[in-house]
Amino acid sequence: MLIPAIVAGIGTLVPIVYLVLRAFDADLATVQRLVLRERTWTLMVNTVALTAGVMALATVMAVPLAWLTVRSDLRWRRWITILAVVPLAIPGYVVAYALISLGGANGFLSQLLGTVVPRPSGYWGAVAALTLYTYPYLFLNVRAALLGLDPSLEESARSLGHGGRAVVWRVILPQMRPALLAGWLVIALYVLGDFGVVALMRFEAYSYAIYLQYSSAFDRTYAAWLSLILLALSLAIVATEGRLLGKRKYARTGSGSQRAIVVTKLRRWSPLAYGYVGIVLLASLGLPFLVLGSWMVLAPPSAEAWRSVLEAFLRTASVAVPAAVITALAAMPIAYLAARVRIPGSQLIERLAYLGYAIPPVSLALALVFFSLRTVPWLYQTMAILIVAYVISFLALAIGPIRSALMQVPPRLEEAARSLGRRPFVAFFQTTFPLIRKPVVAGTALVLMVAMKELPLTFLLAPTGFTTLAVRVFTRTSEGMMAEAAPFALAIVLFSSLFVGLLVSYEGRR
Amino acid sequence: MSDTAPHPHPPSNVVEVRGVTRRYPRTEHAAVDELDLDVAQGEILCLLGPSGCGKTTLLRLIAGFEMPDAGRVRIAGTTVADADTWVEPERRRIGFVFQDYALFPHLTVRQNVAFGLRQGSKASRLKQADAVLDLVGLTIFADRYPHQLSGGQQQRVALARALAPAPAVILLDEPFSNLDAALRGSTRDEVRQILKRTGTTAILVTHDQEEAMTFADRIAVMRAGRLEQVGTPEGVYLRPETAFVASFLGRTNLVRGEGHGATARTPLGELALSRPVHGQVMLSVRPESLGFSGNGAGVPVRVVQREFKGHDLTYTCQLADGERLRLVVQTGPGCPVQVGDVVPVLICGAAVPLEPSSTMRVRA
Repeated sequence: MLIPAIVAGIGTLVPIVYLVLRAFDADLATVQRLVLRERTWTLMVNTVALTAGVMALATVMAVPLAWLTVRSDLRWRRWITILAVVPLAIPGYVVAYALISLGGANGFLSQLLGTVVPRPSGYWGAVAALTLYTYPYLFLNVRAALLGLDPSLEESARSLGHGGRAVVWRVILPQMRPALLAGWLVIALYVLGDFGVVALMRFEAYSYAIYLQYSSAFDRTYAAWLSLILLALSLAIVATEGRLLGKRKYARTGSGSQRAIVVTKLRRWSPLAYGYVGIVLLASLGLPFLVLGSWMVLAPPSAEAWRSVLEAFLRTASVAVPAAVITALAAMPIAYLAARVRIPGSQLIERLAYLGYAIPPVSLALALVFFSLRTVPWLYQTMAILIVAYVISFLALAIGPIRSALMQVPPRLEEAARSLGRRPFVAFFQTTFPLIRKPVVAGTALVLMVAMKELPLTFLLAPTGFTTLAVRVFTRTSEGMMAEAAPFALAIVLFSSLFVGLLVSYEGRR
Repeated sequence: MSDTAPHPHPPSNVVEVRGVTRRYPRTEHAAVDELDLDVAQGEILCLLGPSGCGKTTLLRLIAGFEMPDAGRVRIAGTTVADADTWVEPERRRIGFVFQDYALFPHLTVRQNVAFGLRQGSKASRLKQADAVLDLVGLTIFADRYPHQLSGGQQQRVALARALAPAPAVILLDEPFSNLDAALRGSTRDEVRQILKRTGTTAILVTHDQEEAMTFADRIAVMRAGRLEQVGTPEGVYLRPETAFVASFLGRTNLVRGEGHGATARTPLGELALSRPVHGQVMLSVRPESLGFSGNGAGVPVRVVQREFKGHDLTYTCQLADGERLRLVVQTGPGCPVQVGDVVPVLICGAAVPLEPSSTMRVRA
C-alpha cells in the first residue's frame, strides 16, 4: 500500500528535478543573457494580463448566473444549471476553433452579414475562448457557496440595521470569498496551463512561447527556463490562494438546522435576466455547437473522413483508457494514505499528487522530455511516457472523489473484518472497497474524459505520427483547414458531453 | 514470528495482560501505563473509567488494533504481543463489538454474521449464521440490510457477528452507548444472558458505573492508564480503596478522620471502620448509610438543598457547628425534612478507610 503511493508521489518530483537540472546546464553568463532580457518580461506581462482578463470576465459571467440559478425566481433554473456546466466538456481549442471560424473572409459572420469581420485573435481572442470554457468552474463554486449560505445570517444583519447593499458587502461577499478564491485558482491554473487556445489565437503567453522555443530553436535551455518560470508562477498562485484563504472557518457555528433559501422575485428585471442567461449560454454552448453543426451542413465530411475520425478516436482511446485505469489504481493508495494512515509524510504524498495537477502541461511535457532523454532514452517519444504524463497530470482528479468517499467510510469496518479473521488487504477489498466503488468508477471516468481531449502533453510527448483527436483538431485549425477539423472536434465534443451527462446521472443515482 | 504453540500449562486465564504500556506521540502521559489484567474463562469483566482514562486503548491493544510499546498480551494461552511477538488481529481469535457496531452496510444481516465463518461449505456457513441469529432472536431479519434495523437490533447483529466464529474472548467497546435509555437496560440484560448461555469470556468497556455494576462479574476501575481497583461490583462499591473509586462508583461523602484501630474520630463523631486504621485517614461514607435521626442523637446539620427523585430523596447538608463539611444524605421518598431545617445525622454501618496515596477528587 505504501510503496505505490510513494512511487506515485515521487513521480511528480523527479521530472521537475530534471527540468531544473536542464535549466542550469548552461553556464551562468549564458543563463543571464538568456533569461534577463525583455522578451521574458513581455511574456510575463502577457501571461499575467491574460490570466487577469479571463478571471475578470469569468466572474462577470459566472457570479450573476450562479445567483440567478440559486436565489431568483427564474424559471428552468435546473436546466440552466446543467447547461452552464456542459462547457466543461468542450475543450478550449474547440472554443477557439469555433471563434476563429466566425471571422475571416470565409467565416460564418462574413457570409451572414456580407462584410468581412476580422478573425478573433491575440489577447481578446484568447480571453474570450478561455473564459467561455473555464467559467463553469467559478459558477459551480459560487453556486455551492450560495446554496450553503445561511439566510438567518442575512436576517440578523437586517435586524442589526443594515440595508440590502450593506448586507451584500458585509455578509454575503465575505462568505463567498473561499468559493471565489477556489474558482479563480482553478481558472488561473487552466489559463497558465492552456496551450491550445493561445497557440491558435497566436497570443504570446508562456506556454505558446515555450512551445515555439522548444520546436524551433537549437538551444533548449531557454525553453527549460521559461517552463520553470511558468511553473513558479503556477505555484505562486496556489500559494497566494492558500494564504488569502487562511485558516478561517466559514461554517455555521450554531446548532439547529438551516432554513430554506429565500428566493428573490425578479419582477420587471426578469426579461433582463433571461436575456443575460441566453447570451451566456449561447456564447459558451451555442457557439461551438452551431459552428460545428453548420460545418456538417456546409461541408459534409466524406465517408473516408469519418473513417479517419474513427481511427483517431481509437488511437486516442488506446492511451486514454490505460492512463485512466493506472491513474485510478495509483489514486486509491494515495487517497487511502491521506485519509486513513497517520504517519508523517502521508499528507505530503497527496500534496505532491496535487502538485502534478498544478504543473502547467507544457512545463510537465518538457520536464518529461529532459528526464527521458537523460535517464531512459528508450522511453523518449513512446506511449509509455505519454501515459506517465497523463497519470502525473490527472492523479489529483481521481484522488478527490475517492478521498472524500473514504472519509465517509468508518475505519471500524476494516477492523471488524480483521477481528473476523481477514488479512488487511482482503479486509479492505471486502468492506471498504464496495463502498467506494462508485467514486472510483467516477474518478476513472473523469480521468478518461479529460485524457481523451488532452492536447499539450500529447502534442509534445506522443510518438511521431501518433495523432489523437485533439492533435488533429489543433493542427488542422492552425493550418486554417476549418472544415476538415470539424468532424474531429465534433467527435470530441459529443464524447465529452455524453460523459459529463453519464457522470452527472451516475453520481445522482444512489 | 508468531508463537502459536499451545502454552505448556492449561491456561486458567483467557486474557493475560502484563506490564502493557502504550504511549501516543506528543502526549505527556502514557494512555496505558504498565498495566496488568487477568480475565478468567467464562468471566465478564468491565473496564470502567472516565473518558480518556485509556480503557478503549487497552481494549484495542488486546484486540491487536494497537501495538503496545512494552509489555505482553496473551490470549487463550498464546502470546499475541510482546517484545518479539506480534500476532495480527485476524489471528487472535477475538470478537469485537464496536461502539457504532460497524456492520457492513453492503451485506445482509445473514451475510454480516457469516462474514467471520471460514470453515465448511457456503450452505453450512449460512446455516451456522442462522443458528447464531436464532440465539440473538433475529432470525426473521436475516435477509434485511443493517440500515433497515433499529439500533437495538443492529446491536444484536453486531454481537451475533462477533460470536459466530466462537472467539476465545469477545471485546465490547461501549456497546450500549448509542442506544436510548429505555432500550439500554433491556438490551444489556439480553446481551448478558447470551454471553452467559454461551459461556463466552467478555471484556466490556464503559464509563457508566450502573452499566458496569449490572453487567460485570468483576469490575476493573481504570484511571490515567492504570487500574485503580479490581473486584466484584459489590466489592468495589462497598469497599472502595481510593477516593477516586469511591466517588466514581456513585455518590459518596469523603470525611477526614483520625483512626485508632476499629474506630476513627471525625467531624461526624466517632465512626466505626470497615478495617482497622491508625493515624490520619480519609473515609468514604455512602449517602445511603447516612440518615436523619428522630431521637436527637447524632451530629446536627443544616439542610441546604433537597432533590426529590421519586424513588428516593437526596439532601445536601452543612455541619451546623460551622465546620466546612458538606454531606450528601439519601433517604426514602417520604422524609419530611425541608431546606433550612437543622436535624441530627446518624451513620449506620461502617465508614470505609481509603488509601492515603490516592489523589482526592470528589464528583459533584
